[in-house]
Amino acid sequence: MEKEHIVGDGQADRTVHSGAEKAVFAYCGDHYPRWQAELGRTDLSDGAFGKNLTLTGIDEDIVAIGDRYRIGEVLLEVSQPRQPCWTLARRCRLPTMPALAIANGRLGWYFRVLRPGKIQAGMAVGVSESPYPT
Amino acid sequence: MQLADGIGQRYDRSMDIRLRTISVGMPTMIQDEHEPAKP
Repeated sequence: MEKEHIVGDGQADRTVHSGAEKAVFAYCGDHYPRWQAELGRTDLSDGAFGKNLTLTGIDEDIVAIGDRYRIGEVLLEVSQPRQPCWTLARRCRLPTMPALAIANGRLGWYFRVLRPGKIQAGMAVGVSESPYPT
Repeated sequence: MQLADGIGQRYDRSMDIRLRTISVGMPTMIQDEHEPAKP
């Protein structure tokens, strides 16, 4: 993982989908079974809501801007929630998907990369700072 | 879970947060879809 992206990753529209404040997109993997059940869509699985990281054990009810997480040698900080746009609708082939995601809050969030390094799937995620406790 | 001292309320040590998958790649969308249709 580098400062503004994960090696091998790319953004089609870099005017709105890139930069240090949107270096890494994260989504809660625990949401996918809910989407599958609600929409009858078994194709909605890891990566369906956008690349890059699928995390489990954490979601938008817990995450707050400024929270910092350690994954191996990498240090990430939550920068902002995802604002779903037409790309999500197209990716999911469902025009109402952005509105559905806003309604139920399963949006995902972005990280800025404070310390680059190597990560791999399966790694434990530790919390190193949470400046806004409530 | 590894939890630094002083962090509570939204987090506790019983939580198991994991990086399940990493996905990368170039989206299939093309940038000019944001632009108005050309004559």
